[in-house]
Amino acid sequence: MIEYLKELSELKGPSGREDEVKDYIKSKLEEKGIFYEEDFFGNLYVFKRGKAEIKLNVCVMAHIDEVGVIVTGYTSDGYLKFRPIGGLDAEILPGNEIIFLNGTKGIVISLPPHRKKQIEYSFKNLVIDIGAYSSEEAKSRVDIGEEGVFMTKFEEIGKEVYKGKSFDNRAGTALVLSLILDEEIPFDTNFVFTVQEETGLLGARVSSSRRNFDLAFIIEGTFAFEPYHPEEEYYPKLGYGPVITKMDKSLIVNEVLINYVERAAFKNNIKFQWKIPFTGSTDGGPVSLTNRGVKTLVMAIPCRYIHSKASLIFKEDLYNTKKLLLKIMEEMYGEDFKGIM
Amino acid sequence: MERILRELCEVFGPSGFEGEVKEKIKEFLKGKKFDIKEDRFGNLVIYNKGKKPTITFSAHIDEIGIVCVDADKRGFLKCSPVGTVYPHLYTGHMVIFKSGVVGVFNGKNWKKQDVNSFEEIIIDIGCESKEEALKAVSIGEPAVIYSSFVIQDNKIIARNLDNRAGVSVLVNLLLENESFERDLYFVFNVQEELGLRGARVFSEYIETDFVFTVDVSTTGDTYTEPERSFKLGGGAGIRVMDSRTVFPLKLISYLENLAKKRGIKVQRDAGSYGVTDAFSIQTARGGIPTITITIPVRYSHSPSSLILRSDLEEVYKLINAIIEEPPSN
Repeated sequence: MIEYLKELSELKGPSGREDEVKDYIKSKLEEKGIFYEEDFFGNLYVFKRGKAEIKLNVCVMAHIDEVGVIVTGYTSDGYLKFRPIGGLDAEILPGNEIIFLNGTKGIVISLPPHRKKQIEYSFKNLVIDIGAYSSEEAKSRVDIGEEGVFMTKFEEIGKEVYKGKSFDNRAGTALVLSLILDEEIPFDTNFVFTVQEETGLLGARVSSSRRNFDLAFIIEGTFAFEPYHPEEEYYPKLGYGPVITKMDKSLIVNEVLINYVERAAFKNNIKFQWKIPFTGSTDGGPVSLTNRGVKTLVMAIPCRYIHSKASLIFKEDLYNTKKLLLKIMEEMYGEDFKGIM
Repeated sequence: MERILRELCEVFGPSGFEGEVKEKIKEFLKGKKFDIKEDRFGNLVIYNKGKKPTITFSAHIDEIGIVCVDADKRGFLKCSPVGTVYPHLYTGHMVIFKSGVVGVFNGKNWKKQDVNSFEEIIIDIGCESKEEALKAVSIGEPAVIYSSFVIQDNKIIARNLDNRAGVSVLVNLLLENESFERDLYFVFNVQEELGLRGARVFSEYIETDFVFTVDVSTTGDTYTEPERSFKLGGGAGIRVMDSRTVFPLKLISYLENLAKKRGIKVQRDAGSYGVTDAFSIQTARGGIPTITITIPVRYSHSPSSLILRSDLEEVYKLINAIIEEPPSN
């Protein structure tokens, strides 16, 4: 799974332009002769047989896009004006290297501490420097609407601790890909790689309306943090296992599913942690509203510093999330999906 | 009527945790022959087969509340709102969690009454440490204001008249009839306060010609709200327009004519800042003619809201009249 994460992390896939990521997934699937489908919106579907055949239409979903920037104009001296794609904080951008889909590299401008008070770091003031001499040159190198992402190498920087970009949601993508390629699953399942999550949970809504799922598992990479005063504030942490959503801004997870999580985790001695209620929203929200209501569970791999240049992840959390997901599926099958239909 | 409303108001049911309300409704309808189903999202759908056109009445069964998100080292809980909650109105009140734990809702600056955000809110459940507090109340556990239900002559006061008042009207209607001639759906939908979610789900699959949603609407006859003509004691409200919905003129005039013919007291409810399930429903399945019938309420979304029994009765009569004399396609 880590090899997939390494390769996926370094690919460029800002919302709406996820082709590099999709091509990688497709090539992996083709190597094993696995059939896939794509809808007009860009979502990728894989159906996989499990140990058992079931009546329910179940899916495991991960979004493959990431936050990024989009070029909106040029300054007269050849800088690029830009806007964020998805939730990006302007204050963390100055000095970051950006790579555009066409390969052009640039740096978000930043002022040295000597002169720092001169500008406020906001999207109004920040521009990207691609080393162009004039606005004509800038125009010829990067089109309006070109999208770019952070440039970050994937590396192991501690023992089984990895650094890289866009673990939200390449971590989830790697997990789902490894379920397809390497794991035996308890029952027939649809796997969906959705697009355009960061710009409004769009792909998931389309995919769920098209495929009429009954039960959905959303796999995410979510924020984790070690607060300065750990006794005062709750945050999900690295090393404490998958982060389970009880509720967020888009979804309240049905209590039946929460009970399955608790039982599966307890029986198999897997630790997990709760997400902070009402923070963020995921593909789970729109999915739950389709097809007469879809029972939707959101599980996430904790990552530090998501939506920034580089995030951190523990290998253990990634594996435990996969393990817990499989155990939950087994538990549900074992109880004949009681309470789910 | 009062008994039903009282029992509905006394159960716990913030958005996403409406189980007790649904149980209560099922308990009321025990022995009746209606076809009761619950969809996967949690909406309770009751169907009565009969003559077309098909008419749907809906009322959301959830209420606003709060949810525990953390505890600090001294054992105080932190919380987030479920729906639109004004923290300064809750300060000093008791809250009750799903498991039955009761706590005091307070702001750090409560004596100055300038509590504006949930960042400043703490809930005291009398615990001494973080561990003890989180053992009593888990992260993600919901709570509502702990309050009483009061009837005084014509007035009814409770925390969750939004929208147990609307629910009680529909439940009454079901209780007083063995069956109906008409093709009717009664929907008790969930998660309205979090963005009209339940309504979106049921309106996509119920095949209906018209939807009438019943909800409360804040009046403009107090010191606390901008002035408008919609008032307590003015009878059933016919929603004309609100912050996100324009209602179809055809249904407005249908309801007004119907009320005139039957001597039912109605008033136009225009210019509200609120939004109702109609917003989700009217754009579903290529467009469904939808209107909201409102019950005038004061101080909705506060620990004590107030309605008049007489208004509730007018709403009941209006809905009865719709069943007897439905709109034509």
